[in-house]
Amino acid sequence: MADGKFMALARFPVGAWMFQALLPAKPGKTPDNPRFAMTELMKLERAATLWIAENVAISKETVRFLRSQAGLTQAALAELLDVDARTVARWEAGETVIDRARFDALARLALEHGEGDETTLSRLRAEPVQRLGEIDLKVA
Amino acid sequence: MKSAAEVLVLLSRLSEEQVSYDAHTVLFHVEQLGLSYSQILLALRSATVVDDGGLPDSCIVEFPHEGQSLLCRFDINTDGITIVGFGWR
Repeated sequence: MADGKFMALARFPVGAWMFQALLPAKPGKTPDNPRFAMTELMKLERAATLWIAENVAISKETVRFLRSQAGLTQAALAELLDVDARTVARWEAGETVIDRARFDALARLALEHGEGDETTLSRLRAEPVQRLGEIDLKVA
Repeated sequence: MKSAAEVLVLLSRLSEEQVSYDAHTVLFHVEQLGLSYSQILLALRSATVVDDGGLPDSCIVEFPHEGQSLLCRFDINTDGITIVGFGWR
């Protein structure tokens, strides 16, 4: 109980990570199955998105999770990241690994979508992802 | 008792505040579905009622998701609906 309200542990897995938080809840039909408001779960989902982005937690599951948070189909994401739709499917199947630049772009899309912000979406529509960052290399 | 048509009206007007999840479904949701909560809400608004046998306490609706038909089972209560399960047709 907190402030007189019933609180319960909400947990959800994204690959190797289990995200959890105490959220306001209502008792469910059974004691071990409380009920959470979708608005509260969306806050937890957003916190998980931020953690994945900040920790560059790249995995097939986090790519799929971020894509869902960005509200994009595999084909739509592929177009924005300038890859084939089959490439996105391979990332999410664990057959290949997304590169850092595209992962960062995907994370930005996911975070901004939750705020109704289309800054990165507009940039990617105008310009391929690989041109978003420049890396200076010293070659001996 | 709510009719299937009434359920569809309820779903079409559903707001975030009216939807809740049971804990077991939360665990299943992210790992299996690849849908965010806001996407679920949008999908429910245009879902098709496929089983009204348990109305008014529960209902099963269907909506398309990435080439598959996804089934969603929920309980109807005075505050809105509680999603209690998902499955694929």
